[in-house]
Amino acid sequence: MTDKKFARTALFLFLALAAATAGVNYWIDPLWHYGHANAFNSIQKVTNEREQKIAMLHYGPHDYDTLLIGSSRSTYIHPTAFEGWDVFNFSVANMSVREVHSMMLYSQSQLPDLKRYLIGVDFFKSSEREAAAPRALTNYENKINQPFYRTKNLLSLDSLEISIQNFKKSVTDTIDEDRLYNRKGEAFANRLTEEEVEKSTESKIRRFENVFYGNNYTYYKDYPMILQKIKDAAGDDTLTFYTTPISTGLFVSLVETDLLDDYEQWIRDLVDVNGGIWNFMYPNTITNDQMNYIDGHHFYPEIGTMLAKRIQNNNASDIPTDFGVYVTPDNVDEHLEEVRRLAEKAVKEKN
Amino acid sequence: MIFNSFEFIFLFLPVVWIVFFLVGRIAPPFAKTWLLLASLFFYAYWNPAYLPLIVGSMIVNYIIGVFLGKNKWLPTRKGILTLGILFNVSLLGYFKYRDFFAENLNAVLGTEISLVQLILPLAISFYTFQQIAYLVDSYRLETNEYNFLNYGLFVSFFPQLIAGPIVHHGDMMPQFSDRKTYRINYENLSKGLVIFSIGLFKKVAIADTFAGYANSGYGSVEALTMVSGWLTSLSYTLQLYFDFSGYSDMAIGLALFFNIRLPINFNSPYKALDIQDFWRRWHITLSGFLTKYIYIPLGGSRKGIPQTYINIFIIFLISGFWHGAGWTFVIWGILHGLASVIARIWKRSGGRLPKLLAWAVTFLFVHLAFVIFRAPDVSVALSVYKAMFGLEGIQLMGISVLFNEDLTHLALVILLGLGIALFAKNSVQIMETQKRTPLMMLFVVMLLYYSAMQLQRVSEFLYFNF
Repeated sequence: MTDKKFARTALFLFLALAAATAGVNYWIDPLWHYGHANAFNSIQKVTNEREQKIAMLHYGPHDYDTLLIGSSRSTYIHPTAFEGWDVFNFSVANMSVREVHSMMLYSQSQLPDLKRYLIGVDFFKSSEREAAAPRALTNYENKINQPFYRTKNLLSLDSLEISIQNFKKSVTDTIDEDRLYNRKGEAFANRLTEEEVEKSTESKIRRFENVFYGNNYTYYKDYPMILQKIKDAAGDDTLTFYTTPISTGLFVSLVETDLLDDYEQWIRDLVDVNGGIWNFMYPNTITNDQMNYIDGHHFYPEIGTMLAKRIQNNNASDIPTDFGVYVTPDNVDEHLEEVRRLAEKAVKEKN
Repeated sequence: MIFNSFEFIFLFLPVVWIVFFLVGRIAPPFAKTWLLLASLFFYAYWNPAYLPLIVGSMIVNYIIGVFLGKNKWLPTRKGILTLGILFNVSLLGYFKYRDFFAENLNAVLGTEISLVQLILPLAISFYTFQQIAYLVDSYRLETNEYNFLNYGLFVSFFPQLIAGPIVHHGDMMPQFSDRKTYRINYENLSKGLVIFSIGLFKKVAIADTFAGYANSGYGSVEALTMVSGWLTSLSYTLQLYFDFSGYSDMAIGLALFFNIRLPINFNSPYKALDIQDFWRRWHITLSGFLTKYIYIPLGGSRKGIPQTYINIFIIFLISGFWHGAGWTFVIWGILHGLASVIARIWKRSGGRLPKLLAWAVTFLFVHLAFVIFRAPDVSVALSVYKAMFGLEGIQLMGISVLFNEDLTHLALVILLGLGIALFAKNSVQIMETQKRTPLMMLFVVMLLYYSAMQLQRVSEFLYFNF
């Protein structure tokens, strides 16, 4: 082979392979940079929710009027569950309450038509350990703003690997992971058998007891201040806080590790700051059935839909009446008393 | 700009290359100007603030060189040369060593000299040495008829600008003057592709893998025990080799795309059988510079054996200091100086070791010396040494957590890295082979493709800091 042929063919093959890789990555769009939907990219893996969702906001169409922010639990609330609202679900795994403020500011910079905010809060994230460390999106914003950010990610074997997995899942319509998204930003989880749920719930409760609950938990004194910052960031727009419904099994564990007083304090602070809060986190028809959960901690999307409906329409008839209470300064004492009663009952039943 | 970046590979390089040869067909001086401007852009892309520094340094040195080369005003020549060298040394001293001296003076004399904490201007150690050589050779009347375009390119030619090799004006400037340089040469292009792809792969796939392990180990020295200590130090020894030689390979390849031949900087250094042999194979152009411009002027080996040893020691001390403004680098230089002197004494006394033992002693020394080279300070280096020599225990627990990899995998990767460094043909040998087979082409394409598809994980080269 002559040097000329060698050099030309090598360059051609390299460019062809690079172009093919970029083409597949564009077609499947595993990092959510382009927003197009087809039958081969209908199921998408999570690579880094923060980066992916910021990219969606940055590059995608901007007609959202409602922003939903929460932890991984809230990722399972489908934006389409809210009737008449164009919701962007900015929930991400392991979200800290301190992060909410920076998410709101970033969203405001991208979505000028925002009218309302739905903020999902988790009790275990109100501890000093989980809430004290500052968290912001700055690194991700900087990353997204780097020159040629999208192009670099097209020319990537890492992206290609995810593209291939997304392709396989999409053509076989396989939901086989804890969290997979469709192109509308809706999250799905694999369906577990009763036995699997039993096992995953047990393991999750053990983890909470070892890591988050009991002596590991101290209510973060600045938590109300963080809530106030969130309220201030919402300005005159509607701000709704809701607590995420955990399984009764996990709630019992909270009670048994002596955190019920902290829980009450948490609810009171939420009510104080915002004047009202949707509470879903206590024993009720939905939380009592552990099959509504993947692991006692994360609920399935249909529960997210019920939660959405309850928030939008307090009297929705197809939702168990005991799922969700709007707590205000007027009913907070009564509600917490009821929760205490339900908790005692649940503890007794467990033992 | 970094060689292993998207901007460089997919934008800068193709544009500069295409325009260079398009213009070169018609008017080589314009192509040369284009290459000079492109090189300055390449330099400024990192930090535009230091562009005036390199340009100013180029202009001052060129003017002094031209004056010295004309051999006029004879009584002033030596003074002008001294001023020229002082100018270069002062620049380097101010930007690289100013805070180091201030810190040490403050510590020893109790003074309160404030620190300026400047960011080291990229490539200053390299272009300063190149220009000192130019001044000395101008004084020796060895630099006739150079023009500024050629000189500017000699200093700033982007393939070698940032991390070497340290090129000599006598090798470079005639190439920039040659009209053939401005016509596409497919032999150079194919050779360039071969060595560039190998260099890129060395950096992206190999060096960066070892970098992860080395960083994990050096980031948790308090957790190191015997096995993890060796894994850490070996990872760095391999990282440095693949990183720096990868850069040099890429530099040679890139220069060949423009029909320029750069000197070889590496010749399988870990195959060395003694420390002198190692320094003939590692960073060859630095050794060449130190030999020609410091060792020989000091008297070389002409002034008797004790003075020879002193001269050898001095050049290694300078080499250590050149590598970084810190005591760890100075100690590293001293260790190599001592080892070189001991090796000479041993050789003079007729001592010989079996080949395998000679290799083992050499590699072990180089490897142990790299511990202090890598460590941020002496105490960290001592911690790593302690761990390596079993003073912190020998337990295997926690290795997978420390390196985020299981022991078997780590050991295999390190053995593979060592195997490549010790037994594979080196990249220059592969490049020089006349085989232009489909298999070789496939090899090049796969290396290029794999490496170029990792560019979103861009990381700097180690020698960027020197």
